[in-house]
Amino acid sequence: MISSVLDENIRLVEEAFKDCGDFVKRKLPIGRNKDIWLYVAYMDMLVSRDTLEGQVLDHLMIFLWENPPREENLKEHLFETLKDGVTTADIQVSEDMGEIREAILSGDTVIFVDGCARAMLVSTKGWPSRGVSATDSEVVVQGSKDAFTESFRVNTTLVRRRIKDSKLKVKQFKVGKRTLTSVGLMYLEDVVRKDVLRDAESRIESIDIDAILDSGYIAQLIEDDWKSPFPQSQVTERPDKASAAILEGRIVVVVDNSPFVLIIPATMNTFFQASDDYYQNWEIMSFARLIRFAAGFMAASLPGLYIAIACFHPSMIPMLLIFKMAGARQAVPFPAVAEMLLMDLAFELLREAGIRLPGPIGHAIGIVGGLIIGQAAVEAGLVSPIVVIIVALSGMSSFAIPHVSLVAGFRLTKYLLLACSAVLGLFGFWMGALFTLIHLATLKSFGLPYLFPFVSGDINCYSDMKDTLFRVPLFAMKKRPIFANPSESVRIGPHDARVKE
Amino acid sequence: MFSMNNKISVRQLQILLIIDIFGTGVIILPRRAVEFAGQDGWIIVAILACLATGSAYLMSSVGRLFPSESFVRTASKLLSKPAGKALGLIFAAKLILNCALEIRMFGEIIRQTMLPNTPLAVVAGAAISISAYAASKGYEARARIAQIIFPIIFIPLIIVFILALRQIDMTNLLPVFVAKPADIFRGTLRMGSAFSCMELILIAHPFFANPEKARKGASSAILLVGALMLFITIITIAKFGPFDVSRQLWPVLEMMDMVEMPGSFIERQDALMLSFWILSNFAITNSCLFFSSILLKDVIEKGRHLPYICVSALITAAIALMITNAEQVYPIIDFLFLTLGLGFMVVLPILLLVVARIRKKGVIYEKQT
Repeated sequence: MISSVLDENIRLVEEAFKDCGDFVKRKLPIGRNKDIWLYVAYMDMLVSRDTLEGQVLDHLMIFLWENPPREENLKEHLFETLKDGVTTADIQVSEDMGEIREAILSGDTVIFVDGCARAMLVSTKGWPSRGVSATDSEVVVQGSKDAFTESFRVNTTLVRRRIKDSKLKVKQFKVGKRTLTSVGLMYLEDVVRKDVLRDAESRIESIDIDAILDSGYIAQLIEDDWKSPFPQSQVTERPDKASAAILEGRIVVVVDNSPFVLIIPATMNTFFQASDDYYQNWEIMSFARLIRFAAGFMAASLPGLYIAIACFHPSMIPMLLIFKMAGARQAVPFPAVAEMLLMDLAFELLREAGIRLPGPIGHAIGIVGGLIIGQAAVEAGLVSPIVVIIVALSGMSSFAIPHVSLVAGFRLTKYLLLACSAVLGLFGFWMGALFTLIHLATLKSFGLPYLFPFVSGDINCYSDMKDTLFRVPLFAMKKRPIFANPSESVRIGPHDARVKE
Repeated sequence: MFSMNNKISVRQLQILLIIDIFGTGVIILPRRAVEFAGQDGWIIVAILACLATGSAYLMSSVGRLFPSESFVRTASKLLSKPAGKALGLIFAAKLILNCALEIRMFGEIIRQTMLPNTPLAVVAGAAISISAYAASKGYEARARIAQIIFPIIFIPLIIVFILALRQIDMTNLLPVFVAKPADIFRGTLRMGSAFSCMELILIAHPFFANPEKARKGASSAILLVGALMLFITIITIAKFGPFDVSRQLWPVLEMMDMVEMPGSFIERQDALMLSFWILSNFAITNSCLFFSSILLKDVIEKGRHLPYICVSALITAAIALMITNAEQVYPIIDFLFLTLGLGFMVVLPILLLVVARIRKKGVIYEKQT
């Protein structure tokens, strides 16, 4: 609680912000007789100076000059009179010092008035931020180019621009005891499943951590199974993708200071879907989808399958090819598994180096590492050409998957399958594959089976199968996916169609 | 929310039943059929398919009496508590033995075709461990796993068998109906083990989301498995002729190896096909481990089913490794089927249904109009 004595309030505030060089405060007299004392406090650069000076301070001074409170009821009406003088709509009143501190740190300007045990919290937020720029990690051939930024409100605006429906809600939370990071759940009130929303809210509310610096923190803290290398929430920097997810009945989690939003729940199938799948013809995009699924399989299993077949079951390979392979391996001094591991780890090294280095140098590393070292390794007889092809194919396949987070799961699975195949051949490969499959079959994202709709598809009458390995024409996708509230499952068609269903 | 809390749908039940029954036994089915009835061996498989469908109907009728109750509790209610527990214990023992035999046979096939230098203990250990891991995840998770492996098993198999159709000679099946009825009867009795593990229907009832639809679902699934077995038997006999089939150890694998895939990159299909059988075997063994642990838990009435899976897995491994000669497996399977198998698949369901009728117990379902 704050005091009605202005100096006492000043002491409390200044004690809280002691040694904060960016804390700006001023005690100033206003009114015709300069007898009304105000105390204004805010954080430098977190506020918009134009708003603060043009719409708050100037107006307060002019307003009080022109409409001085009458002496007899000065104490009673001073605060209300001052409030009327501020010309911005976003203004709150608080009596709680904790809330006041939080407001100052969030870019609000706090105004204390002498004799009043309340403070005005005027929204003057206006910190420097990067403008809306083009997408970097989710490039599409056709579709919008704008991407989320680090600003929470800009991000929610980018979605609201696309969904002009008052049922689009932004439920906000403050997470992180020290960072007080704004976390927002965006959803369509009537389309979202209430139980999923409640679950998401309770998971976010239960987070007890000092700091949230990126949406990745939230993703890890609210996931169903922390032991799984597979992502249980989708990450995107595309506002159109986030909007599409909301229209499907999913929830978008926007986190302040992060240009990536989370989409929950997520199934493995959703990680193979890209935005432009729906912007272009269904035939070509179905083909692309099929390629992506095949790429997912190859990214995880190609090295393991090669080792299993080449080392344990060479009789499966046509005679001509096996002679070629044997000839190429003749000069290689390592066992096939070591050769594969060597090459694969070199590829991982390249990938890691390429990411960390600035763009042009990253490309150069790719060329030097991929072409020159690969060629030199083959010529030096350290690895055989077929292993280079296998590793390159597996690596290329991992880049064909639209979501990087899923690739991480496949990258680790690849080593499991490789190890199992190296010990027990095709039998071991299947053991490793079954282990992965059992894990995936038991994995859930907010209660939804991760492998849906390939498993339990009958929950939604197999309607979700229309957007899996193939994408059917848009007009045939009449129903929303499983994520939506069943009462709002129809997305295409006249209203009476819903009644009939 | 979305999941059904360890309950499975009728579709999932059908898939589980199909892959549980369609196991390694199919590899030798045509040989055994021919041994009893020559080119008329397919008749035995056809009769078996019909009988198995009838048995599935009976067993799911027992489950319908007390849809939410476990097998042990149902038997306890109808017979008596000691009888229910004794039946549960015998059932669990039978499943563990079945699992061990399946693992032993599977291990032998893997060693002979894929890993000749690997000790049986390694193959059996890996197979049992992965099955136990799956069993520990519960029935709904098992159903989801089955939904994924179902197309992986059956799509390549169907393609291979359709391709095999091009190279068959149907005159190998002629003349028909020459086998003696006694041989057919003897074959039917001895080969019923091809449908062993079907008695799992008796225990699976509490896991059904729609118990009233389970009877139709289970019967149709068994009929489909029977039809598939019949199809495989017919084309294997038609491909090689009864004489060659009876001389081959695994005629179905031989046939797969001989099928020429148009434009195929793979030189030998049998290794690939065997890898699909790995999945099928996995389905059977994890079923046996799961249900034996459920039965043991119900008999002992203590704790969750997880520790019992470890017990079942260890006993399974011990039995599988005790059988030194793989040829011992088939007589034990036959014996097991002729005693406990028939007991649980035919005698016990009839007994329980009669007792329920006499004592007027169980849920009465209204006829659907």
